[in-house]
Order: sequence, then C-alpha cells, then structure tokens
Amino acid sequence: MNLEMVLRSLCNCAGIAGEEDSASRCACGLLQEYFPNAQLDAFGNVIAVQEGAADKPILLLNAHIDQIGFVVTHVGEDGFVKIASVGGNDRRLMMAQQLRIFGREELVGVVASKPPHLQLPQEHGKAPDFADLWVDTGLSSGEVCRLLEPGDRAVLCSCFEKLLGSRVSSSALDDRAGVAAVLYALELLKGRRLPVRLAVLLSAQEEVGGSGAKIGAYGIQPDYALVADVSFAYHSGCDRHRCGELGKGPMIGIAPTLDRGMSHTLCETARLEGIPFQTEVMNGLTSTDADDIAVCRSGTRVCTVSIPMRYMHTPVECIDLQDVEASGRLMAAYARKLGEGGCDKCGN
Amino acid sequence: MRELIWELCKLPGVSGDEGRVRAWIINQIEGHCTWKVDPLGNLIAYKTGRNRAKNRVMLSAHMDEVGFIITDIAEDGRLRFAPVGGIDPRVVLGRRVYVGEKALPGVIAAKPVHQLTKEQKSEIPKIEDMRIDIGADSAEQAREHVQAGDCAVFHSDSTAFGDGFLVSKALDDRAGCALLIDLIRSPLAYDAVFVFSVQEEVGTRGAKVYPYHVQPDMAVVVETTTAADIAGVTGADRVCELGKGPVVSYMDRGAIYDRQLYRLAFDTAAEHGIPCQTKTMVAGGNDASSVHSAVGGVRTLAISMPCRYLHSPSCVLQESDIQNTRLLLEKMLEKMAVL
Repeated sequence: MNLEMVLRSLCNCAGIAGEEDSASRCACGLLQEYFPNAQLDAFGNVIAVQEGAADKPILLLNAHIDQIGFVVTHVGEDGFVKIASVGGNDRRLMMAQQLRIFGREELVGVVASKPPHLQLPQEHGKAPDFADLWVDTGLSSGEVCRLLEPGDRAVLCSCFEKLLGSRVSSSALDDRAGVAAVLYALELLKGRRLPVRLAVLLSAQEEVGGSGAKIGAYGIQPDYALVADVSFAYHSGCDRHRCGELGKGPMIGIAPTLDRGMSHTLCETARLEGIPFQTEVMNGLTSTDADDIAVCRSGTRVCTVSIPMRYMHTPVECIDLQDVEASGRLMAAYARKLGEGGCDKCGN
Repeated sequence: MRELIWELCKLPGVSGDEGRVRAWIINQIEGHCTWKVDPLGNLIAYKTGRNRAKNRVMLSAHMDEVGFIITDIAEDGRLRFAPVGGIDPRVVLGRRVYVGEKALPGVIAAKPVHQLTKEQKSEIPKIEDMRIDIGADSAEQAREHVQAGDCAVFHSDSTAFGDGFLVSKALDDRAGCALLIDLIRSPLAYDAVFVFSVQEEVGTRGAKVYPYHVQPDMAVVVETTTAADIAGVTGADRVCELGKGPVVSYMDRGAIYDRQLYRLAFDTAAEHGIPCQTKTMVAGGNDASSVHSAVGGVRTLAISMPCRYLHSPSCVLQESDIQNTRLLLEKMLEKMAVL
C-alpha cells in the first residue's frame, strides 16, 4: 500500500459534512480491499465489521470521513450567492478564495472581495462575517437559478500538495489522514489472527457535532474504540502547551473522558514496538468522535490516536506522512496486543 | 487567446524578477519583430506594419505581478516574507505559494481558528506576522532550498468559469501582455512599438526608462483595472463593470490622460460597434503615471480590461472584454499612427 497515493486520492474527493458521498465512496472502495462487506449506511457512514469470531471483543477503528465546508443559503439573480459555514471555518482567510460548488453540476466560484478603495475604515484589517460574504459564480440569472439552490455544498479549492520531506498539505487532511492511518493499520493486520474482531467506522458529520459516530457506533456495538483524528502541531505563534509536534508520532490521548487503561497500554505498546509517540492531555471532552462513541449504548472504552497537524481547518492543512504511518502501526500493534494483558479489561 | 493567457499567468514574475516571463515572451514574438532588452529588463519590440506611421505609437503592458519576497529564514525553518506590490492582507492567509527558482510549494497560514480568542477570529493578522511553511523541520533544512531574496508567487487554479469569465493569479497584467503578443503576431497597418515592462507594481519603475528608449509621440498603456461590480456595491462605487468592454480612463491617481485621445477612443469604439466604458471613480494608477511625463512629454491613454479581485490569487476577467480590448487597440493604433 502506497500511503501517499491513498491519502492523495482520499483528499482529492470532496466530502462536506452532510454530503460526504464522493469521499465516502472512495474510502469504501479502499476499505473493501480488507473487508469486502464494507458499505455505506443510510446516514453516509462507511461501515465494516470483520466476519466470524463472534465471541471475540470488537475493536473499532474510527476516523471521520467528512470535512468542513460551506452550504449555499441564497442564490442571487446577479450570479452572486450567499453561503454559511459548515463546521468551524476560519473567516480570516476567505477573501478572494476559489470554491468548488456542488450544484446540479460542479461549478467554480470566487469569494467576492471589496477592493481596498471601497473598504470602510472599520473594515480595514477585519475579517467579514460569513453572512456578509458573496460568492461570484459568473453565471447569468437564468443559469445560476437552474444550477444552484440553497442546500448545495461548497468547499475551498486545494489539491493535495507535497512539501519538503514527508510533509504534505491539503484542505481535507482533517480527517482523511485519520482514514489513511486506519487503512494502513488494516494493511499491517491483513491475514493475521487477532484476539479481537475488527470493525471500522468512517463517520459522517463529525465536524458538525458527531451524529455519524453516534449512529454508526450504535449499530456496531464495539467493546473498544481507537479514534484516529488530528490534533494541533506546534509552530511559532501557537501555544506550546496546547500542541504536539509534527513528525514526532501520534498523540495518544489522556483525558477524563478517555479510558485510562487504554491510554496506558497504547503508550506501553508504542514503547515496546519502537513507535514514536507523544501524549495529548485534555481536561474534559476531546472534541472528536471519541466523545460520542464512549457513551454509546452501554458504554465503550475509547482512546484517541491523533495525528499532529498544522493549520487545522484551513485549505492548507499540513501533516507529516510519517505520523500517519506511525499511527497506523500503533493501532495495528494495539489490536494484536489487546487481550494479552489484563489491564484494559478492568479499565484501570 | 485563452491558452496564451494561461501560459503567461502560470509563469512566476514578481516585480524585479521578471526574467522567465520575458524569456517566454521573446520566444513568442521572435520572427515577428525586432526587439531589445533595456538595462532594467523592459522588453521593447519594434513591429513593422504595412505602412510607415506618421506618429511613433507605443503600446505597453507590464510583465510583473504582485507577490512576495523572502526576507529571512526563521529558526523553526519557516520563512519570513514581505509583500511586493500592493497586496491586501486579507487575501494572503490560507494560500499556497511557490517559492524561488525551483517553484518549491509552500503554504501561508497562522494559528488555527480553534486557538483564537473571539476578537482574534475577526482580525486579519499582519503580513509581517505570517510565515511561509515549506515543510522544513529546521532553518538548516530550509536553507538547502531557499535563501533570503527569493521571490514567491501565489498558486492559482487558473480556469474558466460561469458565463465566459477567467480566474487566475497574475491576470494583472499578463492579459495585457497576451494582447500585445497577439498584435505583434498579426499583420498591422502601421509600424508600432510594443513594450513589456518591469516593476510596475513597485512604483512604475520600468516605465520611467522605456519611453527614453522608444521616444514615442503617443502611448497606450494596456492594463487591467479594478472593477467593483459585485453584489452589494451599487452606482459609481462599482468603478467599472465586466462585460461592458474596455475601460478608457480620463484620470486616475497617477495621470490625467490626453483629452483628444480619450475622445478618439470612444469615437473609434462607436464607429466599430465595440462596447466601451470609463471609470466612475478617480482611482488606481499604472505605467501611464511615469510615461506621460517622460522624455519631454508623451500623449498618453490607458485602455484597460475591467478586473475583479485585482492583486489577489483570483483575479477575474471576462473573455468578451479581452476580445473587445484587442479590437479597440488595433483600431486605435491605425488612427493614432496618422493623427
């Protein structure tokens, strides 16, 4: 498996929360290499559960398939349309950005920006609210109304780009990087007898509150879950205490809402296997699908394995491929190890 | 014409670093004219027409684009940079750029939105506080690939969209360059001089010297100019509108244009059924600011294509305006040569 190729193809598909189709289908196809029964559910989740071994505990590998984007809220007859944010977009970077708009056809739009001579003094250096933005479609009134309607999704243009070394950039790395890590773990576990039964949930709508994880986990009923999302990587200007670092391996979560035993075992496993890792200490919720999976049905033991990322929720998110690989290795090693010791079973 | 524009827009050519654009243009016009390059880098092309002109008419368009210059490599391997030309800080964050001769990909971003205070979320960071990240892990690694003084240009997904619109970086003024190339490669009625100029975006520096070489009687600056014909902007604030043809200026921040040439442009447009407009605001400036007062004075006109989102990675032009500007330039050349 060529991790970079897999990640590139995942990133170049759009999958805005609530309309994940293109990315979900791409990921489902990749997942079927390992689980031919992988499928999309009615909500847009991609789900697979390993067949047989019904007596073994289920270990769920999770990443979310959706990404942040925009939804069209109004179509103006002059070819300019209004949008609202889907998920936590950064309004400081919107002016003069190109968008892919998914109407009846895929269209190009440009976020209209007032030239400097028309900016009011109070607008200088300020980022406008999303509600004040107009997107220029360049279409005539008849065409714009034929091709676009409220509810259509849009996303900032940004293809996968390789930077120096093993670093890459794209708008969709949150969380296609996690999806790639899950696929890489499956690659490493292919054909192995495991003490667990594997399941995969590539969840929809994480960026708007985690409904996909709630629905998906309800059906799968996992005993354990590893959540492969992204977290903050340090660069100057950031708060160091709130960040991991690029290239230093997955960030293993430690938090009141995560299973302490799993956090411990993950760190131990990484040490034993020589996999680089860092810890990410949080004081409550994790703001990932782990929050919902943990409290699904009768409860699930959960831990996060986050890939460090710079510039999260921008069109130029950056990660290090080595961290994706190390995350995959760690999840695979954990799956082999689970059931060996006793500590995870008692939760402490 | 569209392909010609895409090829030109793709080339990196920040002010003072126009070499690749110039080399490409020379390749395009070779055999259709004689040319020379002056000490600042202006490319001057002498085109022979079917007839000798009474007046020496000069058409110019600038090769340079707004962009960035690397000023330092920070300790963490990210690059400090400064804007070259007038770039609104609001169009810098969250963009991809290409750095240096080898077009090394980089990204410009800042602290993620999750870690900002409510006030910071609506504040555009200062350009001096932004960094270009090329993926280097250390200053040493970055230095293997980049040095201070290298230039960076915006990435752009150049494409046609909507009803005949083009979007790309550098349309200001590669679209003008494309028109000049096309005219040079076409049979013309009269001799004319064409200039592809440098350093327009940093104070029309090239335009201070190329008239000296050309000694023109009359000049037409071929440009793109700010159009604000977007939703929410009405009346004169729109300045000019896409799809309504070339923009002929009477005055801007840099020059007051020749009155007779201004009228001649509208008369010529009317005569040939070419849509034509003027600016409804005294704003902007271009090479004309230097050309009109050069070498003892040059009768000067500016004919521009209306452009939305000027100086951003997503400049927008209308193809019909490009065609109509091409047509008006050709007709004006014929008239001005014998005026």
